[in-house]
Amino acid sequence: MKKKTTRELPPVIPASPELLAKMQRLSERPPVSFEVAKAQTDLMLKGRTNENENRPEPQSGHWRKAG
Amino acid sequence: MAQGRLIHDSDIDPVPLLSNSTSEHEVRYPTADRRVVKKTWPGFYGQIPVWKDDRVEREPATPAEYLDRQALQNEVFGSDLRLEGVNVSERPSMIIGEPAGLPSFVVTQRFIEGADARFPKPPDARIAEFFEAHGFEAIPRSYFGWVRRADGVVVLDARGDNFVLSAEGVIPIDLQMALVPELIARSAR
Repeated sequence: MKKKTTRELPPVIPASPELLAKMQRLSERPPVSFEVAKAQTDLMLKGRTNENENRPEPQSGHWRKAG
Repeated sequence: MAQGRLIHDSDIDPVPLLSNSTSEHEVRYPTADRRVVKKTWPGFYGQIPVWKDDRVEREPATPAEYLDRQALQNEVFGSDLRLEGVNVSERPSMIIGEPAGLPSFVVTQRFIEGADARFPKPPDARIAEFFEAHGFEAIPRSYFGWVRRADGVVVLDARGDNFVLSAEGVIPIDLQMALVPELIARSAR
């Protein structure tokens, strides 16, 4: 049986104009040096865990399978 | 980077290494046009959300699903992920048991600088605000998962280290994404 892919699904809601404007403004900022990028990357990966962790149940309790 | 073609090790190696310790990519920066290079580990194309046993789980993506994931991030969050090509390295695989010579995808994106160099990762509350502002709700019993019922877009691995708290607010940089039709709200079908 052919595996279903996302290409066969309906289109998604595109990014909001506000978000696109933010991304555009970020693209206009001057590029950072390798040293700055390296320091930020190391900081972001510090203490990273790869094991599964479960999110807590939302307080609203509105989770359900659609349909 | 090369465009839409086979990319050789000699094209990638000159770009300084930022990290080879992430689970899905080797990361380098900067290219000549000041972009971040992400190369998938050979023979492994990341993970995506799938609907399995009445819950959202993660599974290894096929190459096509990895590309769908990149396209989804561009479409939903306005990212600028760009497929540069495919690399076939002759070096030994980083994955135990995998033979050499398996293909990797090479993608690039702009580097997003943190607004505060000391705290580039947004706190969980800011990530939650970001998703809720874009119509998502948290998925219980999932791996940092969020779903948008209107179109079934699911995001997993939404941890702080996959976002940057930039001068423009929270910006996603690398998300495990897919469409999960089982989660589209009935009214949206």
